[in-house]
Amino acid sequence: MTHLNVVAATPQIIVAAAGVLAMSMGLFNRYEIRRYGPSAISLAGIVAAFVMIVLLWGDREEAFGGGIRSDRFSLLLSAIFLVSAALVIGLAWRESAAVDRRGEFAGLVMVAVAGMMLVASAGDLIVLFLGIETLSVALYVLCALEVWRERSLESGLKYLITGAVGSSILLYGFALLFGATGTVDLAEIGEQLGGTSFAGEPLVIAAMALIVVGLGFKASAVPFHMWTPDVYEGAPTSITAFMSTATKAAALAAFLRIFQGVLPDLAGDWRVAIAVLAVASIVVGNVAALAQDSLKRMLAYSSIAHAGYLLIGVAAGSVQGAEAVIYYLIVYLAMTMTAFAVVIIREREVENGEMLEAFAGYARARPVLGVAATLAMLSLAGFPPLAGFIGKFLLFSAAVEANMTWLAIVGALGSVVSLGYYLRILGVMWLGTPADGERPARLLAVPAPVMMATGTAAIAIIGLALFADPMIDISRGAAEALLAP
Amino acid sequence: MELSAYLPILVFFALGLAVGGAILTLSKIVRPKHTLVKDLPYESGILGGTPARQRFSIDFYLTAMLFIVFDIELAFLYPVALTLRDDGLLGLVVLIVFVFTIVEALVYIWKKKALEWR
Repeated sequence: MTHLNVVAATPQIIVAAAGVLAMSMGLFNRYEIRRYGPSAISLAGIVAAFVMIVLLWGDREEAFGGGIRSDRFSLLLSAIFLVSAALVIGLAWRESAAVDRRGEFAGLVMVAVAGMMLVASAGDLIVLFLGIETLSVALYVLCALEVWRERSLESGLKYLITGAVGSSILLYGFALLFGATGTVDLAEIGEQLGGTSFAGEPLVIAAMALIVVGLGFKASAVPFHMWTPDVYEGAPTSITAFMSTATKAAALAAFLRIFQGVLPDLAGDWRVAIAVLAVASIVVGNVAALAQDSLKRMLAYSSIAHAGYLLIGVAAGSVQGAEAVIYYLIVYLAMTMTAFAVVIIREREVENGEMLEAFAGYARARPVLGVAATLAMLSLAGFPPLAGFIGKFLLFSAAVEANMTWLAIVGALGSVVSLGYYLRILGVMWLGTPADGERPARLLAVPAPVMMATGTAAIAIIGLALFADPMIDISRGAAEALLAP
Repeated sequence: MELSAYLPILVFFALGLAVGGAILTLSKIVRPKHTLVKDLPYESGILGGTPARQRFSIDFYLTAMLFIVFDIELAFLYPVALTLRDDGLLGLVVLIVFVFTIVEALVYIWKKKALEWR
C-alpha cells in the first residue's frame, strides 16, 4: 500500500471540490443562489486553500505515494494561481460571460486552478500531464463561454485544436522519457539521468525536444505562439487575463519542474534550445505588438514577449534563474491583471472598448484608473523603480551569471522596443482626444468587486517593488526546493 | 554525439515503410475487383432506397457525447470491481469519490436539460 498522506494534497482537493460545488450552485432555482453562490463558494475555496498553503509551508511532503509533492515551489506557485483566480472572479463581476453562466464560469476557473496546482506539485509525469489536461480542457470551455459571440466560439475552437496538438506532442515526449528510464517518477528519472552518462543519448534528446515544444505551446513561446493573439482576442477578457497570468505561470512551473528539477545534469542539451525560444519570443512578441490597434491583441503579443523574458530564467539553468522566474511570475500577475482590468472596465462602457481609440483621453476622465494603467504599462516595460524592472533585472543578471550575456542583451533590447507600444497606450490615454468630443463617451459606474480587484493588482505593482527583498527571499526558497532531494 | 546511435531510428523508418508498402501492394493485387452492384450499400439484401445524406437532429450528437463520457467512466469501474477486495477500505473510499463525481455530472446535465429531446 502506498503512503497516502492526504494532508499534503489538501489545497488541490479543496480547490477541485470548490470547483465542482460552484458549478452545481448555478443549477439552483433560487436566483440569489445562482447569482452569488458560485463566486462565494469559489472565493471560500480559494481562502481555505490559501490557509492550507500557509500551514503546509515548509520542507517537502509527499502525498499519494510521491504523486503529489508539497514543497515551497509548488505551494508558492499554487498561491499565484489562487490569487489570479480570485482577481479574475472579482473582475468578471457582472460581465456578460458570467451573468447567465456564473456557475460554469467560477466552477471552471476553479477546476483550471486545480489542474495548475497539480502541474506545479506533480511528483510524476502522469500527474503532470493530467494537470495540464485538466487546466487546458477547462480553458477551452471558458474561452468559448460567450457562445452568442462568434469570436468567442472561434477562440475556443482554435485553442482546442492547437492545445490538443501541444498536449499530444508533450505526451509523446513524456513517453520517450519513460522509455529511456523505465519510470514515471520524477525523482527516479532524475536519478537515472543524473551524471553525464546520458548526455547526447538520442532518445533523451528527442524526449527533451518534444517536451520543450509541447510546453512551448502552453507557454505561447515563439514559434508555437500562433494561436495566442486570436484566442486571447476572442475569449472573454477576464478569461484572457486568467490565461495570460495563471496559465503562463503553470507552463513555466512545468518547465522549471522538468528541466531545472529533474534534468539539471543535462543542462548542456536543453539550455540553448530554450534560449533560442526565448530570443524568438522576445523579438516576435515585441515587434508584432507595435502594429496592433486592439489593446487585447497588443497585450497578447506582450504576453508572448513576456514568455520570452521568463524563459531566459529557465535557460540560465541556475537557482538564481529559477528564483528570477518565480519572482517575475508574481510581478507579471499584478501588472497584467491591472492592464486587463482597464480593458474590462472600458469594454463594458462602449462597443469595441478594447480598441485603442476607445481609450482616447480616458485617463483624464478617470484619473485613478489612468494612474493604475500607467503603473501597469511602465512596469510591463520595465521602468525603474517599479516591480517589473526588478524582475527583469533579476532575469537578465541570472543570464549574465550563467555566461549567456547575449540573452540578457536581447532581453534588454526587447524591453526598449516594448516601450514603443506601452507608451503609445499611455499617450492615447492621457493626451488623446476622442473623435467626437472633449470627454470619452459613456462612463459607467464600476462595480465594487471589479474596482477592488483592479486596486489590489495596481497596489501590488508598487508593493512588490517596495517589499522586493522578502518576496525575492521567498522565491529563492521556492527555487531551492526544486533541487532539494 | 555519435551518429551511429541514430541507426535504430533509420531501421525503424525503413521497416515502417517496407511493412506499409507491402501491405498496400499485396492488397492491391489480391483484393476483389469493384463492380457497380458490389459498390451499392448493403441493406440486408434489399435495394438501397433513400440517399444516405440526410439531416438529422443535433440532439443525437449531444446524446452521443454524453454517452461516451459515462461509458468511459463505466469502463473505469470494471477493473476496480475485480480488485476491490484487495484494495480494501481505501479502494472503496476512492471509488465512492469517483462515483460521486459521476453522479454530480449526471445531476448537472439533467438540470441543464441536456437529456431532454427537443
